[in-house]
Amino acid sequence: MKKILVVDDSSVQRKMIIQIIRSAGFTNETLEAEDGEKAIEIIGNDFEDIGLVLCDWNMPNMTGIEVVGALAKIPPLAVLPVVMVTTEGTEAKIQEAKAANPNLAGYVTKPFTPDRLKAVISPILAKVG
Amino acid sequence: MGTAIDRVFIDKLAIVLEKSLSNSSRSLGIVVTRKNPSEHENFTDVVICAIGITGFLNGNLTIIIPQKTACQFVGKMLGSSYDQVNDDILDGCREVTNMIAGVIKMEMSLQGCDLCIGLPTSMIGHGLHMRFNPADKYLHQQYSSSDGDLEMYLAFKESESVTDKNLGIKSTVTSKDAAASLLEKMKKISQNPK
Repeated sequence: MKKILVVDDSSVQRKMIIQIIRSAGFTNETLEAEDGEKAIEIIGNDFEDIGLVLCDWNMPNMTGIEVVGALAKIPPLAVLPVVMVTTEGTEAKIQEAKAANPNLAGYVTKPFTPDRLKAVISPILAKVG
Repeated sequence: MGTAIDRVFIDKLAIVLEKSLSNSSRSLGIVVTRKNPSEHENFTDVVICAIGITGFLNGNLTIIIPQKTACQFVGKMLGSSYDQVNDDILDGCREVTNMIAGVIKMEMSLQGCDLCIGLPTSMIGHGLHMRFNPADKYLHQQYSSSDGDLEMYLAFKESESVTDKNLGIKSTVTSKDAAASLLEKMKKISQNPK
């Protein structure tokens, strides 16, 4: 079963997202990163086992958009499903994220309901296992 | 055509502020209701969260939550119980502030007013109160919920770049016009002394 990486500088937000994943019935192991740098480090070490990345945008050290952009440049990682989970909900920002990573698997704007996040991640997890 | 920061704009901003809190709290399973200012009581032990706003407006969004209410809110977010403020409570309050600012940003962008939001900061203390320069513009809204009350301030001023470029707002009276008008008045007074 693939692992899910949750990237957000808010530990409360990471916990909330993991709770939603659990409440949706997914038992995948979850990994946590508090910024983009840590996310890149985790993905680098564990990329074969990661099946989904949920990534915030505004974080210290390295932002989410830099993370998704970096993944898009590396062929084996360009297909890794990434869902942005962010307060950046303007159309311009959504387009910016899609431009940075054309394979972006989803975009969830905060505040979101548990049902909204489940609706986005469920089909992805059903596919990647 | 630009957007003028007038009474109509400020009324719209007040609606956006209310909507941003309503959307954010509802997503967390918390229902808030706008309170009449006359019903408001000053809080004592509070968590204050602030986040800077730049762009079309320059200012900040500040949320003041009694510590007990903050514990209830974050407890609901995480399905846990807290009886005193800790790092989780502060982190949760900052995240809620960030979400509210995010909704304000999104709503304002739909009206052609682009904003950038900064990083949320939290403070805890006893007897803290917000004060603004009376000359500055700010909105102040108070809310109640089943978990306690909270209040929210949005302080703002027009950014200079907005006034000069985006809005096209220019003074309708130049200093030359004002001088001419003043001279005219002085001339009339000198011709018709009391």
